[in-house]
This record gives sequence, structure tokens and C-alpha cells, in this order.
Amino acid sequence: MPVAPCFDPSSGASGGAVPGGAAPPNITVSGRAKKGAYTVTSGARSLTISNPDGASLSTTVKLATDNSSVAVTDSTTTSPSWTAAAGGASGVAYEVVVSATKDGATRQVAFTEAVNSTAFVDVSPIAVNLTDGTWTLYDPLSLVKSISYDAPTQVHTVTMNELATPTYDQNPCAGSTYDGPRWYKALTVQGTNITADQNVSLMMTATPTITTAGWNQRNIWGTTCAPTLTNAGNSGICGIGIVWQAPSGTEQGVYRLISAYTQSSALSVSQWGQVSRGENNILGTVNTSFKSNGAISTVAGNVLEQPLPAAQNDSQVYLYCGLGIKTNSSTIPQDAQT
Amino acid sequence: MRTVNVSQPDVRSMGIATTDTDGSSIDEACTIIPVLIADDQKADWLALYDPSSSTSPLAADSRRIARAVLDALRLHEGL
Repeated sequence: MPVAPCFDPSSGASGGAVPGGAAPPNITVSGRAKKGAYTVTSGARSLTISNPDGASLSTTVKLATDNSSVAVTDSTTTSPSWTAAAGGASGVAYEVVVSATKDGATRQVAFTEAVNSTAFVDVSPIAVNLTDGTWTLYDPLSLVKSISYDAPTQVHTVTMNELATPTYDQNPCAGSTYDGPRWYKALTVQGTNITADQNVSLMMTATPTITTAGWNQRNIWGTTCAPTLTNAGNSGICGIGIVWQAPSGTEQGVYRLISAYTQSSALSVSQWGQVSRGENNILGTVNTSFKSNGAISTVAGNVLEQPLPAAQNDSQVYLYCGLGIKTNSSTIPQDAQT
Repeated sequence: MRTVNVSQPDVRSMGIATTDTDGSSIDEACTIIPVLIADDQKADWLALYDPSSSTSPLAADSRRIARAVLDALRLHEGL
């Protein structure tokens, strides 16, 4: 007599009539399908099982990497639970099997639950879109005529109004005043507001895309606790971050307070920088610029244990992007773009 | 003896936009030469200098600083 399989090893599914016996009991697991793959957070895990036929239940959980068993509480009930470990460097996956047996027939629902890696590797950067409504433009001289953002290429294009009589005040890294335009937003990490007393390390990239901007520009991207102040330096905006300047944007480096440290290479097409700040201090910045083939073109950096002004202690940290001029003779033509 | 040292590995050329001691702006390609003055000699060096006197500091003292800086620059330039 042919024997019909009640467990299909190729699919992991099981069930079906036992030859000459009873039909397997019905069970469903809330939010889980047979052969499903799910991502969960580490910590307490539990299932809700529907067992309308009153079958005997058994839930087993095994670690996929070594097939070791995980202790399951109330494994024979409709609400088994266990603990999923933290993801660690490589992430973890669990194979969960819920079995229901009645009158010699068994039905199983098997699925996988994975906990993502918590390692600090292969982290995806967050693309900045200054037009997404979360950024505020502070532009006391009304130098920004318009800004557009192209999502597929992640490129901003800023069209400027004329700056006919420039001064160092429109230079973000010179003098004692910076009154150029800047977009800013509160820095949050997974919903938590970051304040100046907290130690943070912020990585950022920028790619100047206008090969010949309409003016001799100096643009900054970084952090501050006082995004709408115009008095630069230690008493004011107190920024720290990366800078790109000159018409082609190929002079790249870092800035802190009102000083910029840049390296010039015509081969620089993009830059990567890291900002460290915390304990109510401006700390350090490093910048690496890259050629089009990915090789390094220049490096620059600056470190400074610079206390913030007392008024900014423990205050909110903001991200900001500021536009400006490189020298006090850098006029901006009407409708120039960067 | 009062001495001045330079951190030669940290000498580098780069564009710098910053502010001078008199508050004026500097914005040009420069060579950074880190001059090191030991903490236990700071008071001695400061005692040598009277900003209101055009002959201060003395030439011999000035030369120690100047030679350290210029030696570093020469080395950086491969001279």
C-alpha cells in the first residue's frame, strides 16, 4: 500500500491525513505564517496560538546557527514565550516550530524570527533633504531665492539672490559675525533629542555638484547649539563640522567656531567627515576627501577642547547647513547657483 | 634654560581661515607649525615680554623662537 507523506521535508510544511487515520488538527499562530521569515527585537518573545481542536501543543525554538535549543516557557500552552538574545555583531536567527498533535496526527507551523545585528558596521547614512519640511531656514539677509531637491540623486540646488556688497559677515569662517543663510533642525537619535552635554560622534558626507558655482563660496555642514545666532565664535554660533569652498568646491576640510582648515585638490569630488562633541565642549573634526575613483585626495582635521558658552550648556544640539562666501570680496550674482 | 620645541610631524600646509591675535581675519594657504612651550616655562617666557616695549623681547630670546619655527619650515620644505 502506498504511504502518503504527512511531512514534506522540501518545504518544511507538514500536515495532511495520516494514512488510514485522523485528519491533523487545525492551529493558527497570530501574525505568523508557515515558512514565514520575520524580524523581531531582542528580549521577551511570545506567541498567541489558536487551537480550536484542543490538540496537544508543543513549541520549540532553536538558534539557527548551531541548532541549540532555547528554553521556552509554557511551551505546551497557547501562549509560549522565550527570550531572544541581542543581535550582536552578526545578528541572530531563531527557528520556531509550533506543533499540534491529536489522535496521532500532527500539524506544524514553522517560521523564522531574526534579530538584526547591533554591530556598528555597514550603517546606512541618512540622506538630508533640506526641503522635507523638517528643516528651518534662517536667512537674515534673504540671500536664498529658492532651493530644490532631487530625490533620486539626492542633490540640492540653491538659487541665490544678489549679494552686491559682501563683507566678512557673510563668511561663516571669518570675522566675528556670520549672517549668511543656514538651514537647521534639532539633532535626534532614534527619537531622543541630543543635548550639548551628551557625547556624540556624527559622521557626514557631502558632494559638491556644481563644478563652477556662481560665486566664490564657502559652505559649512555640521552642528551647533545656537543656529539662529549671528555672532560667531565661542560666544555665539559655536559650530563644528565640515566645509567645502571655492567655486568648484574642491577645497574641502573642517571648520570649528569661526575657523576653517581646508586642503585643496582639484581631484576632490566628495568628502567624509566626523564630528566629535560633548560634555558641553566642541571637540574634534576630521575630514577625508576623495577622488572620483574613490582614492583619497586630501585630509584635514582640527581638535579643540573648547567649552561652550555657559548659556549653551546642556542645550539642544542642532544640525545645520550654512552657505556663504569665501572672502569679503566674493559677490554673489543674482540667480547664481550651488 | 628656556627652550622652544616644534612638533615636526604635525607641520603641514593647508588653507586656513581664522582670526589673528589682533582680531584680524586670515584666509589663505598657510603652513601650520605647532610651537611647543612647556608648561613649566610659560611663566619665564611671559616674563620676558613687554608688549608695550618695542625692544621686547630681547633678540637672543626672540631668536630661540624664530630659529625653532624657521628650522621647522626649512625641514617641511625639504631644505
